[in-house]
Amino acid sequence: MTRYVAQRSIESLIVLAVMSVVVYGLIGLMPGDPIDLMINANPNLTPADAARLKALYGLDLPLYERYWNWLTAALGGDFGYSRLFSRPVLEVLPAYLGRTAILMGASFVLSVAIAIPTGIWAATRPYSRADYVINLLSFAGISVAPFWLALLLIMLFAVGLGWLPAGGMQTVGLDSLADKAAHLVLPVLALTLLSVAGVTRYVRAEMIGVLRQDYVRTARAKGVPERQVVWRHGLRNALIPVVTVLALDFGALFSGALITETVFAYPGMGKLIYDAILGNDFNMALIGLLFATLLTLVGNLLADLAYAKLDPRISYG
Amino acid sequence: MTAPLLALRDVVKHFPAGRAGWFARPATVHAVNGVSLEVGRGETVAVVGESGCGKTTLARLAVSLYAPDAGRVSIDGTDVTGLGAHALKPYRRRVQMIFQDPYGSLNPRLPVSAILAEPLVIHGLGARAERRRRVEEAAQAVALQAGQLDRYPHEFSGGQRQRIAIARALIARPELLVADEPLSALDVSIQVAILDLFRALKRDFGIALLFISHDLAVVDLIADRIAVMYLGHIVETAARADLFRAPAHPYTRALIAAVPAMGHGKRARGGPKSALKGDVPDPIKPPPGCPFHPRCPRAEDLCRRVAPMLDPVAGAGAGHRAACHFRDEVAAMGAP
Amino acid sequence: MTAGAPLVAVRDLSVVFPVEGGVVRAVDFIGYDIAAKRTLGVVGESGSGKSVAALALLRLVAPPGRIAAGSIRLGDLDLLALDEEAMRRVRGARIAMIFQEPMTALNPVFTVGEQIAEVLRLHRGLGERAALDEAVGMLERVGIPAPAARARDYPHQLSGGMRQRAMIAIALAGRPELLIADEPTTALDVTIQAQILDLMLELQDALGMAVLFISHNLAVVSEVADDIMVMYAGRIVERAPADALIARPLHPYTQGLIAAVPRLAARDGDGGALRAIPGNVPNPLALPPGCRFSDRCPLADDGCRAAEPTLVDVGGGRQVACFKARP
Repeated sequence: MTRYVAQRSIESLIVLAVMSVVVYGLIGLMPGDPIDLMINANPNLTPADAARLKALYGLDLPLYERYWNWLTAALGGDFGYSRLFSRPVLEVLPAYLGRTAILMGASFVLSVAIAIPTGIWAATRPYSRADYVINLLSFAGISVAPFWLALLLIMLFAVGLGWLPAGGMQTVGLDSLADKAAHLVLPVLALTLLSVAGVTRYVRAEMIGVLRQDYVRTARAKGVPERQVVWRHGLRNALIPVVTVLALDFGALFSGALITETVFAYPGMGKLIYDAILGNDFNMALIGLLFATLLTLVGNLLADLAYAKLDPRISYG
Repeated sequence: MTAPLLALRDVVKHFPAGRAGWFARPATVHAVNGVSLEVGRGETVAVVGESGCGKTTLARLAVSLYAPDAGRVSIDGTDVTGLGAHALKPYRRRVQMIFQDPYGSLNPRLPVSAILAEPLVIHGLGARAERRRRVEEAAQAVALQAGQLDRYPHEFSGGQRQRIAIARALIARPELLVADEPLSALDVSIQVAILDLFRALKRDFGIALLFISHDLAVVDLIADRIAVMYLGHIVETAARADLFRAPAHPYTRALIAAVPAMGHGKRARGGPKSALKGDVPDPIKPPPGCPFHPRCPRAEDLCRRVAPMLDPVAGAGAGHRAACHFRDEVAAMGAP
Repeated sequence: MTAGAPLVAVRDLSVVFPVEGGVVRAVDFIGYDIAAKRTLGVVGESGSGKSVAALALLRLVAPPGRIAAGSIRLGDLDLLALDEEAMRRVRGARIAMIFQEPMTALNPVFTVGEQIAEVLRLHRGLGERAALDEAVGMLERVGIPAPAARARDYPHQLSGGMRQRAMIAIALAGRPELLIADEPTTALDVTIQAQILDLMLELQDALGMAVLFISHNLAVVSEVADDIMVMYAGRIVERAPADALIARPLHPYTQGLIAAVPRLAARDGDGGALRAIPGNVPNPLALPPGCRFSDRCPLADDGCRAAEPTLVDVGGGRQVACFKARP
């Protein structure tokens, strides 16, 4: 097993390195750079000034040299300076990471906690009226556009009923947990509604398949109570593919909330990357995207390890 | 003396097992370990064995679906080992295969007429009208009605599908049929009908048959010669009557004794017919010396150290050979 | 039949499956007894209803199939009248079942020892530790070498024969009065099959159970059964003590089955030429009129096509459902 983890870790590092080249290249190929933005914003900047600034920041160097400079600095722990925030990238990042972690973590836990019992419930009474309703709601959840759902929630709960704030992370001036929590409710709700649908369908499908298996019939023939047949004999098997899918979703955790965060003006990683790209903040965008890559790779590895842990038929090495 | 239609000489085939990876631990499945086998014109040779003995791999080596790691395969005197697809093509027409699973071996998207015509198209045998005629002829030979030729495989029963598979194998007029467990997936009452079909084909077309099976009772009805396989080795080979009358290998004796007997009442437990101990062996970790010694009731120290050769049995029929140090004694014990 | 009340008495049992195009009567009004401590072999091909009849005994027929009519008595307990909880206490404890494919019939994510221990905890009230220890003992009882180590293995780590032994251990853990074995050796190699049959005979003797042994292989059944029941298209066509059935079959289908079994000439004698039974098993939605076997039967006449024969006693503990059978 350690051999396997070692091999996968090396592979992941290689992918990360390649991705850094690709992303750096793509960003570098984008028209314009921060200095150009400054020129647009400030008519007093002369071309000579612009050239001097570009030389200062090394923006007139060829792409591969800039990449090498970046790489050597990054390996030493220096991720550069964020144009947008006027602070080092490493200072800005953690707070945003943390906020996205709360948002995504909460919705992840909530969706799983709802989806599993719901999926099982539907699977144990397939094609019944209850099952059709659950299926319908799941289809709705999968089909709905995230921004539309977010806007709808805002209209209903913030504007219409006035129960919850319309966006942002906290009320200006207040620093209370309850206030922050209130601001989290709608974004978490939006994200949860979106993902619970998919997970429920998946759990339902897997459970229906599992409940048809011979070993479930054996369990009943042994006189195992039906509750245990479903939750112990059945679920334990159905969860194997479900967990691997969830672990893969983990990788999307940090970048996937982009739209939701933007609509709710919630300052998380998704919004950060978005703003960084639009604002030609190369350093921030680069680090943000690489972080997303890293998390996807980690998610993949976790999925495979979880799979091996849960399914005794699978072993690596 | 003419060359045999099919000759396998000392063929070896191993497969890698376990996960591939940079630090992978190598493990090998020793599927076939130095097997020599011949099938003469018009002859029916049966290869019998249980799971893991390598008989399916042997069948695939015989039709060149696999190339052996060592040893030679020749068809009608010509060495075809490792030939490329193009050079192999004319030989493919002469040696055809029938598989175990009548549900998996027919393309579900083609009607039966197309399935049967395919070998003719591949080998360029005849124009359309001639092909149609031969398709109908082949269908008739396996008792399929002409009206059914436009149907799809899923519309037929298992036994009928196996007939289609046989017709497909026959249509290019091969000289040798390799049948890999052709009856195993069929109901008992259908097995007999397909068995009869094979016997009729032998009789009417003089086709040679390499018949792979785990069922000795079936093999008793169709084989001229029988080879018994265990863990990738042939442990005994003999003419049919000789094998059953005086088996010279303990595994053969056990195999015969294990065939369920009808009309002899309930099994006598622990009696002389009592079952072989131990499990079907693992071809990844074959034992040293004689491959059968861990389960053999007569194994001695010699058997653990020295692998016996497939040598003739004293005073037995022509061509009766067994790979056991005590072959003569075992043969003298007579029928189990 | 046998002296004393039977262990299981089935009367007028019908199991139906609604399908597109109608209702399949997989088991159509059958009645039979299973005597205590004896082995009843049930022989039939696909569509005979033999497996469904067995599942009905445990009320495990998979929906949308259901038991449409009849009664099943275990001793003086009416199994069809029990509530689910009471039936659950019968399953695994008084009646146990083993299935054909041990690889799929065992749960892949639990160890073998754990799967045996579950029965011990459920039906014999053992605690966790005691159950696991007893499970090891049971593995030894069914002839698995190094049982303590094997108990910690998962099903995929065992060979086919070992898995079937483990299944037998699971079934016997509850000390059932009746063991139902549905094609227990069909998926096994022939030398392993012989071992398992020996084991089952030995255990039956030692534990005094009744066994219902289901198979499509008449030869295998004849090696283990005291009595044999032959089923065709959802009905019982013949029932007799095993030796009598094989030596002198009365129903044309039984005769056809026996004639269709390939046998070793050198050992078992030729017994006449091998004959196939013409035709196919009937489509359950389009059964032939009258006797269900009439379209394949060499003896069939108009009387056979006009009415269905019922199972009648013909003496000597034998029953046949055929107008043409001559005892």
